[in-house]
Amino acid sequence: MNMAIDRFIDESDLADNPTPRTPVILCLDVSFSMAGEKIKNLNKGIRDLYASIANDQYARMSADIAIVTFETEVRLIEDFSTIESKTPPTLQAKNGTALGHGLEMAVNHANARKDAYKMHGTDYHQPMIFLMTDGKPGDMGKVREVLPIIHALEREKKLTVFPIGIGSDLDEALMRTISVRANNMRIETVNFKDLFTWLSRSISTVAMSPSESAEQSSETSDLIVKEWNDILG
Amino acid sequence: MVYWTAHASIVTGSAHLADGMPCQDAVRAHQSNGLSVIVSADGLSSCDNAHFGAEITTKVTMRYLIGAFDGIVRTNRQFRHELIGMIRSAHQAYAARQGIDILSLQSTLTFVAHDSHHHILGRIGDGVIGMYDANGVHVASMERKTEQIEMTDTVLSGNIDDVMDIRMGPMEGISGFVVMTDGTAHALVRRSDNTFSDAMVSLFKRLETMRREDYHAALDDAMKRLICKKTSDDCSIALTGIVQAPKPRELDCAARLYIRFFPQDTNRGTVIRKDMKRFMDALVFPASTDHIKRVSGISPDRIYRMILFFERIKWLVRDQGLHRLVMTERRD
Repeated sequence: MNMAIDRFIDESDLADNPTPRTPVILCLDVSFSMAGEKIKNLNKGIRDLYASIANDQYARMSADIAIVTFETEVRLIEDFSTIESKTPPTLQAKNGTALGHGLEMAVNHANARKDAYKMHGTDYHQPMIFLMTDGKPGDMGKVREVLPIIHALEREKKLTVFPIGIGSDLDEALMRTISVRANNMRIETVNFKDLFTWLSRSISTVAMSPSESAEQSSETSDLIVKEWNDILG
Repeated sequence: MVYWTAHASIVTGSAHLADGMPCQDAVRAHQSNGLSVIVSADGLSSCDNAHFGAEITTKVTMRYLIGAFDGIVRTNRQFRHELIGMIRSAHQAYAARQGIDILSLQSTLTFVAHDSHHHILGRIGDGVIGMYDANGVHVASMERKTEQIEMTDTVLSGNIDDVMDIRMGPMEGISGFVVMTDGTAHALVRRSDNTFSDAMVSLFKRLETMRREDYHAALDDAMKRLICKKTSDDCSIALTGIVQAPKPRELDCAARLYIRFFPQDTNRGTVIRKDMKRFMDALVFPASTDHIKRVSGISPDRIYRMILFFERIKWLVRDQGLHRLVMTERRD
């Protein structure tokens, strides 16, 4: 009997499909105003996030993380990859706040990643962009250009941008218009621990989620957005 | 004459085990009087009562197909609205009894029903249906993935004409069917080109030669040990396939062995062999003496002795064929 079971099927004959990917982009303000405690805590938050994802059996296989930073220049400092091939970056604060260009790079990069998934037949959940900034953008023209693109994608549920304002020197009115799905979160304490703990847990939730109905309003991404908005009261 | 068998297996996914949630898949297999029916359903993870919904969906579908199959293939009539109407009525009744929202019962559905001449298959949502023939296992019905992978259609989705795939056709050249939920498909279907993995061919080939009980145990083991390890989702599968028919030499051996067991049966070996072939051709599962008598024309006494014979050698003919009898006779 055991012999029959052992020879029943060979593990190497099973399909080797990649785990459905959950693309996450951290779009981070590293302008001069972030210097000091803010950038220090941000660096620690990213380290904690990586460690938390690495310890989660579902998020570890699914999370596909990239980091875009913006000051006067915009940089893709971490391209998409799973957590196993990553080491947390150490960010340094300098120069101005090209928020619009940062968002544009994040959105374009998210779309390019989806194209790559499709080309390779990899299933994926819709991308999430976490925007963190502590100041007013110096490129409002670009912001006005990129927001309608974000809003259109969000309405089709092909993207969610989670705006996180740090400190009090913010353009609150602008932050409220970044996303049509997720409310603006404002962090006063410059402590990212709770935020990154939530983010890690959310990635795990998305990674574990199987099929849902096209007609349901409570699909996974909506649940994440709802939880986010509930946290903000 | 060919012999068909049907099997089903189900495993709770690691994500549901970790959360203490019930398995939200349901699966059923039926084989009787020449009709095989396999059904699977996957309850939606975001629905509180999806496990009940999946059970209701498979139960109603199975009952419907067993009763309606002959009429459907004889008249080639459309049946999707009738079937889905029955499923939705059952969901509605359950939701009313329990005081719950009917939308909390949502599930996908895949099914195949066939006799030796015709097959019908149907799918709503992200399950997969496969067909086995001389060239291998092919995808017969599968959802085309949209951008929203976390979304799928269900038996409660709006326009059933748009979301339900139904096919009917002849059985020529077909040796088996499989239905599976998306969890199982993650291990058995290559997403890059939507083809079945080699393991799926093995599952059908083993079906041809293994004893029913052994196959069932091995399938359960493979689901738990290998297939469900590929995903955190619940996994279920049901398949029908042809069991290897006895070869002429095996029938000769069986007839000789029968005479040794029942020396009081005065017919010659050639007559016994002929009756044994008739007996096996008429045999259905579960065995019915009346049915065998009517179909084969063998005397009731001999039918009784043949049933005793096969019980005595501990093999169910339709599962095992007779190929091991050769070895048994040599040992004698």
